[in-house]
Amino acid sequence: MTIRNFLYLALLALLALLALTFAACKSNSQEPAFYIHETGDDGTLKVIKEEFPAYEFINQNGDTVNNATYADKIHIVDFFFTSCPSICVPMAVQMKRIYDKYDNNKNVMLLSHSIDTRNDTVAKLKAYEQKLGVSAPKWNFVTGSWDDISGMAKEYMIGANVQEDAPGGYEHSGMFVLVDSQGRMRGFCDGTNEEAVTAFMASIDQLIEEEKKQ
Amino acid sequence: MKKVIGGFYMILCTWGIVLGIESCQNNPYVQGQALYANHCQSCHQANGERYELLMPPIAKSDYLVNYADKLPCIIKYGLEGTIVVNDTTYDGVMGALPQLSDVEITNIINYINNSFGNDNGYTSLEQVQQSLQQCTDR
Repeated sequence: MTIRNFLYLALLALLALLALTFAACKSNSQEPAFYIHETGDDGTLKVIKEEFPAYEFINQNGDTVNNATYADKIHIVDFFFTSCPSICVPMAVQMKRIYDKYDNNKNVMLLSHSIDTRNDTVAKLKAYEQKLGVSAPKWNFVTGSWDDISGMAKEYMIGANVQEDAPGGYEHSGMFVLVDSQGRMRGFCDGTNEEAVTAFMASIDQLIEEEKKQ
Repeated sequence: MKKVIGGFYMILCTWGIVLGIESCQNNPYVQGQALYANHCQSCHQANGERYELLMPPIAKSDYLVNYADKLPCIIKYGLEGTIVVNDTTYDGVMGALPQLSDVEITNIINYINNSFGNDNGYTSLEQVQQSLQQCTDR
């Protein structure tokens, strides 16, 4: 081996060492943002699902919430529970970003379903509303029978299951679903991811503009 | 010749190690920070601030000082019920992280105790292990 080869090898070894060192010191990267919508040829948001069945739930004030509540309203839907120790706080943080952004737009509303139908009473939902500093009907937190709630979760293509070994006793996905004022599904995103929700809010803006033109 | 090459390698390795240590030196809480980002940040926020009445603060939180010996148990086994932090009452559920090792718990504690404007000193692995033996809620 010549000295020159040796030097090359040494240089390579040093570079590798440096690369490893920097990789070790770099903070963890975030998971990629999950956000889905589709636009048609004319640039409008495609309809992902045409309609949802009739539903009727009770909100944090004890009032009835049903399809009529959201007639002619753009609404964002999710599933959560008040004692959820895992993804529900980041979901609430992101949902409240949407709440604050569209605070003055009466045509945009939020609908959070509790999947903990055993424990999340109207009083528990009210306490949760107060902790977040929000109010109905802009943001309804609703409860109902397990069959009705889990049935609607399936309709929104969101997984929600009782699972004793999951944190809090339930396993569910943190998706936000965008429903237009005609009750049609137009987009969804990972409600725990700030970046995804930022993109999702651009879709809400777009939907507002599209509906103004109609 | 061999001596020259050997000496060259010695210098190279020393330089590499010095560089390696230096690039990490700005932050002595690398693992704690990474663990916080993975396990804590989505609820406790990147800056450790409170979130409404849903999430108590870690930043400048008197709870970290008042319940310093409880922190290992809280991180490992979670927390449920009413607590008072900086004169504000919070009532919620914090998830457990039973998969964390004692060293990882120590690193998280030292990271949060010395970040977000906190200056709460250093907790040793031995202190954490002693605290973990006293956990009631596991």
